[in-house]
Formats: sequence, structure tokens, C-alpha cells
Amino acid sequence: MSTTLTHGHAAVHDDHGPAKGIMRWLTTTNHKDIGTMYLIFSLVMFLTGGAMALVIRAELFMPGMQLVDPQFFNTMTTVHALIMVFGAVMPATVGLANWMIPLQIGAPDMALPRMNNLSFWLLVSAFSLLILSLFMPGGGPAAGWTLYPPLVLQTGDAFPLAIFAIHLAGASSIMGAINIIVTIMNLRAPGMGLLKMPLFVWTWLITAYLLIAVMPVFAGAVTMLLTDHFFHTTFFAAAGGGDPVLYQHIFWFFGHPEVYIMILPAFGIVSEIIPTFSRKKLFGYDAMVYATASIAFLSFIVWAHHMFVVGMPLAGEMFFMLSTMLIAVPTGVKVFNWTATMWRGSLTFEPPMLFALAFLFLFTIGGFSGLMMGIAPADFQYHDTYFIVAHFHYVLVPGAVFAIMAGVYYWLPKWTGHMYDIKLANWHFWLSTVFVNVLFFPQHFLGLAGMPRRIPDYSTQFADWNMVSSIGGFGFGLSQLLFVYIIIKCARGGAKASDRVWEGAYNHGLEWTVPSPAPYHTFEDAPVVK
Amino acid sequence: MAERDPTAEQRRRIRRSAIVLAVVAIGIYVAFIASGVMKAQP
Amino acid sequence: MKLKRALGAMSATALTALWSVPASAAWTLNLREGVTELSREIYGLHMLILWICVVIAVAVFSVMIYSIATFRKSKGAVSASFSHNTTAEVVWTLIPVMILVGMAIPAARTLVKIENTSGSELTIKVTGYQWKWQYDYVDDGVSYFSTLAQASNEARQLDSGIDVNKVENYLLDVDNPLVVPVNKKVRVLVTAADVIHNWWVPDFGMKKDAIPGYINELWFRADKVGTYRGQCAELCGRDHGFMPIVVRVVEQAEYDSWLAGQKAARQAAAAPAAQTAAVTTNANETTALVALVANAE
Repeated sequence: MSTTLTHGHAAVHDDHGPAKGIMRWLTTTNHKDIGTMYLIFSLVMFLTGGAMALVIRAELFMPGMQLVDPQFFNTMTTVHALIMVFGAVMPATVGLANWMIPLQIGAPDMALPRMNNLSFWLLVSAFSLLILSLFMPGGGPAAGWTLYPPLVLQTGDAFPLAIFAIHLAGASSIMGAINIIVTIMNLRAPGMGLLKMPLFVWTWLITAYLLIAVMPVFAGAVTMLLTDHFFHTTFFAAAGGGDPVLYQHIFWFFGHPEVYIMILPAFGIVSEIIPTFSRKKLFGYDAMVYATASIAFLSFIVWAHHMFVVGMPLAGEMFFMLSTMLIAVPTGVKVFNWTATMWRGSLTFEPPMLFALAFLFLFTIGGFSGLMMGIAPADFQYHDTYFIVAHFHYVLVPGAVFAIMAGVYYWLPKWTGHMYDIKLANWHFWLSTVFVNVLFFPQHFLGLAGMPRRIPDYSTQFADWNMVSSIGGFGFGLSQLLFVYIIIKCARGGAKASDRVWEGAYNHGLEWTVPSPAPYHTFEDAPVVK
Repeated sequence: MAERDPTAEQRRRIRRSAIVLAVVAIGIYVAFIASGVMKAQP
Repeated sequence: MKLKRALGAMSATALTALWSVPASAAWTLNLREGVTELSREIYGLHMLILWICVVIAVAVFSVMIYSIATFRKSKGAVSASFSHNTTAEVVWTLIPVMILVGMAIPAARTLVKIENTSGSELTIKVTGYQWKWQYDYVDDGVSYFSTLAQASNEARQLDSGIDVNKVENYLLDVDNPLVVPVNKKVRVLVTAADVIHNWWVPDFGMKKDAIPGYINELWFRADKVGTYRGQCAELCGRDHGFMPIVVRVVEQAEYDSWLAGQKAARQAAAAPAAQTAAVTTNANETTALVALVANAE
């Protein structure tokens, strides 16, 4: 039985694979290989997007323009977000899905292994195009990741590359989602009813349906941008009878479910980790499933809360305010259930648990600012300020990203067969947690004080908190290099990991019944599921 | 990779569901562009 | 080399800056109350929601912290075996719903007030351009551009060498501010000429997208004389951060004389025939605009 993760930790375009070399990685249909490639790709993208964020925070360190042209600054904010959303968070969760779903349901692989390979390499193509677009005459896309027209139609030669990159990434996601649904619905081991599946599998099942429902919507929106730009259509141009706000409706109909696509798998990861390290079953399994499904359903009817200032009729503002506030209910249920899992448990605090607990606290803070933004009249003061920036970074960074890191720290010994350096991982945790708050908490104050977003320079009354935030940014960014080091060191060697890895993982998932590292082919015979 | 290969029945179901989902995705894509076209009519 | 110098300068300035808090509102923590009834209502809503969130956060985080401190394996805690409780699920679903209803009622009331633009005493059309604002007093034929003040514009250039802390109202100053009378309901028609912009004055609590080819409206009634500054709040290209909004709220008498002065200046500047033509065109455009807005309601 050949081992899985050997030298795969090097850069995406390496050729240090085992016997078969680069062809192994180009043509593999193995869910473990593909999962590994997604995770490495997402880590590289995370560092790339992070570097762009540091350009932003460096310029915003002090008032006045010190480093970059305002147009380039806008490009950085745009591409930073596109990379983080579509190149870091989503591929990371897909990588975790690829590795863990077959293991957790007792299947030998994904249902459509060749399409799985295509999904990955499409993503690499997509981001090659996006990064290439930065070097085109006129600079990279600079209209924000939301790509609103008419502004986006002022993009230079980068425009078709960016649109095509989005199409490729979208196709990749849709195919991945199809794969996940048909795998979960058809290849579960006998005895594993739907309401017996690990919650990570449930959250991914629901996420996959969301992806199929909304990625095509985004594709439609950018297709119409393309035709408006090149083929004289006027979908979004008033002069031709169109409406720029139509784009916003279409975009956010995709965009809001998109943020749940990013967070639901994170919820799933946390739902695996807290029970293991509390040595107690997840509290309210059924309620957690229904809450996740409710969140997914509600995510379709809140989109215009991103558009409260667009000039909506009163009835629209009322409806979207109320539906948005409603999402707090199932989200709260989940937070309460995680807390109840810990209550009267027997807790230990290994790195996965540390990150999961930080998620619990800090995602909740992000949730509260989200609730505040749902109050439409108040949103008139928050919209397009740093208050919004603070909110979504709280739910995405100490939210989704911390959950992903928790998942990596949880499953890395299963993938590599080695325990990683726990002391270093603790350092990574504490540095990240402290700096992420130094970076983003002051941004609430900046937004409330009146600082708009997407500006490269600001009035001097915003200087102090900006300086603090930038210090946090550099601290957080540098701390992530530790994460890279820990992973590489672990892949190279370390204390041998047992099958179960974690003492509390007893009966907490089929993945802990196979050896560490997991053999290249697992569950070729169906496991026994009681 | 031999013993737990999907059975013929499973393969049939997998292929059918995959095609249905793909058609739904394409349909949504077309529907939203069509909505844009309809909205742009004078 | 440039980067090293910049970094060196920044670190030195950072340390000094962090110690010397400038007189201007640094370290601001909260939203401002503003100078209109609506901005105060919005502030009230903001504080209400904030306090509710704080109370819930304290409660929930206390339980989490207690669990982390008490139920530790290292302290000998043995895990219980319960894994669900339907009553608990019902309770912590229904109570949040009730709290949300409590929030929604005052919010809805304020929303209705905000959308009610009837009874306005003055109408001004605002047009966003890349990268400046145009203000149109539609009933009086006065129209002008409002651009970032020259001192700010010079200082903000890359490598300008100018210390921005010495520029008064850096990036929040314009050459020609908007002037309105105090205690009058002002209706603002917001549109744009090229891309989407957004007209926002935090002290009025009002923010609205400026969309090319469409007209949005907002209203405010400032109850305090003063100068209020805002910024464009929708990414609109390279100089999105450099097209501020300045509104001078003055006593009625001062407003009247200012307006008269503006009209006179335009009469003096333009030839009489051209002036008549311009006013007529403006009037037609205004009627069309007002009709458009009336239809939209």
C-alpha cells in the first residue's frame, strides 16, 4: 500500500511526487491526492491574497499616500478579495471535503473521480488567468470583488481575463458540488442513514446544493457584463434601457448564499472538533442539521440587505430587514448547541480545540455586527464603511479561516501519519488570535467614526485606529508563516500518529478507524456502521 | 480499488443524478440571463 | 530604497504618533448622534441593538468561559452523557425571536419616517461625477461643481512631501460647499453622470447611491448651524476617496443672501441670452425629473 502525502507540501507546480512524478498529480483521480492538491493550492492563494492585504494595510498605516497609486490600491482590494473568497477559503473547504467525506461515509472514493481531477485543474487555470490579468495594460480589475457596473466596464485589457477566470472557477465549483452530492447520496456505507452522518458531511451536502443553485447565477451576471462590454448589449446601462441595479440584484442573489457556502463547512468542522475535545457527543445533532438547512434556505431571501442604500421601495427594505434578522435565530441555535456540548464535558485544549474555541467567540462577535447591519435605518450609517469590513472579516477570518485551520490541525496527523509540533502550533494559535483582533476590532470604530471603505487615504481623525489595525495586519500575516512551517515540518516527519490520533476521537467518525497515514485506498470493503 | 467499486445500479443512479444537477445548473444560468434580457426590453 | 526609507520614516512616526494624540477626534469609538431628528433616531437604534448584543454576548460568553475553566479534563472533570434537550432548543429559538421582534418595531418606525420625503421646502439635485459632485438648486437655477480642496489635493499626491496633519480638514474640504438653511426639510435628488457614486453625510444620518440614469431621493432637516462633512460611499474609480461632501447649514437669512449672491454671479458671468436659455433648460429638466421621481413613488 503506497503512502499518500509525501512531498506534496511543496509549491503547487512541483515535480517531487513519488515514483510517477508530475504525471501522478496531473492525472490522479484519488480523493486523497486531489484533497491534498486543493489544500496546498488554497494555502498558496491564502499567502498571495494575504500579501495583497499587506499592501493595503501598509498604505493605510498613516494618512497621506506613501506607497501606491490609488488605482493600484483598488486593484489590490479587488484581487485580495477574489483570491481569498474563490482561491483560499472555498478551495480549502473543498480540499477538506475531498479528503474527509469518503472517509467519513465509508466510501472508497468520490463518485466521479475523473471529474474531480478536472475540477481541481480548472481552478489552477482560473487563478493563473486572474493573476495574469494584473499585468495587463490598464492594470488588473479594480472595481471591487463585487464588480459593479458601470465602473467595472472601465477595466482595461484585464477585463476578459477576469471574467473568464470567474467562469472557470465557477465551473470548477459546480462540478465539485455535483460530485459531493452524488457521492453522499449514493456511496454511504450500509447502515449510515442521513441522520447518522457526521455533521461535516451534512454541512457539505447542504453547501453543495447552495453551490449548484447560485454559482450559475454569478456566471450569468458576469456573462452579461461581458456582453455589455464587448457586444453592445445594455443589460446594466440606463442609456440602453438597462439598469445597473439589476446587476446588484443578480450578484447578491448569488453573493449572499456564497457567504454561507463559505461558512457552513466551517460550522461542520467545528461540530466535529468540539465534541472530540469535550469527550461528549455533539449536543442537539438533529437541531444542528435543521438549523443548517434553515440557514441555507433563509440565505436565498436576504440578498438585498447588501443594497439598502440603492433606492429600494419601503416594502423591499422592510422585507429584507426582517428576513435578515431572522437568520440570527438558527445561527444562535448552533452557537448554543456548541456551548451545550462543552457544558459538563471533559475538555482538553489541543490546537484544533483552541482554534475551534476562538471560532466560537470571534465568529459570534461577527454575527452580532451582522445583526446590527440588518437593522436597515442603522445600516444607512454602516453601509460601505469599515464597520462592514470589520463584520465580514470577523466572520471570515477568525470565522471560516480559523475553522479551516482547526480542521487542518485536527486531520493533519491522519493525512501524514505524524503528529505535528504542538508547541509551535500553540504559538501559531496565540499569535494569530491576538493579532487578528488587533487587526479587525478597531475597524468597527473606524466605520462608526465615518471612514468609508475602499479608500487608499483618509482624513487624519482616522489615523490612530488605522495604525493599530495595520500593526495587527502585519503581525497576523507574519504569524501565518509559522503555519506553513508547521505543515512542512509535519509532512517531513514527527512522532508516529496512531489510528485514533486524539484520545477523545473514540467513536467520533470512521476516519479514526483507519491507519495514520490513511492508506491510498481505504474502505475498499464496506465498514460496519451501527 | 476493486471490491467496493460502485455496482451497475449505483453507477446508473450516480450518472443520472449528476446529469440532472448539471442540467439544473445550466438551466439556472440561462434563466438569469433570460431575466436580464426580459428586463431590458423597453 | 524608497521602501526602506518609507518604512524607517513610518516606524519613527508611528512611535511618535502613538504617543501624541492629535486634537482632532482620534480614537473615536462610537457613531455620532448627528444634527437631525433622524440621525438621532438612528443613533438610538444603533445603541439599542448594541446593548442587546452586549448583554447576550456577556451571557453566552460567560457560559463558554465557565465551561472552559471548570469542565477541564486536567481538573478531573468527567464528561456527562446527555446529548440533546428539546425544551432547551425550543426556548433558545423562541426567546431570540421575541428579542428580534422587539428590535424590529422601532426600526420599522424609523424606516417609514426616512422614506417619507413629502412636505419638503427645498429641493437640491446632486450629481456624482468621477471625481467630484455637482449641486443644482433646481428651483433657483444655481448650479456648480464641488471638488476636493486644492490644499488636500496637493498633499495627497504620492511623495508630495507635505505633512497631511498640517492640512486643515484634510480630504474633507471642498472649494464650493453645499449651502442649506437650518431647520428646513431639504429633499435631495441623487444621481450620477458616469458610474455609481454615493452621497453620504454622517451628521445627517443619510446615505444614498447615485446611479447613472436613475434618480434617488433622500431628505434631511438639520437643526443646528454648522459645517458637516461626508464622503462618497461607493467605489467609483481611482479617486473614490478624494471626492468629499461639505454642507454648510446656515440661518435662513444668510442662506437667502448667499443664494442671491450665487444668482447674481451667474447673471454677471453669462450673457443674458445664454443665461435665459440655461435657466429654461434647467427648468424643463427639473419638471421632467420631478415627474420621474413622482412616478417612481
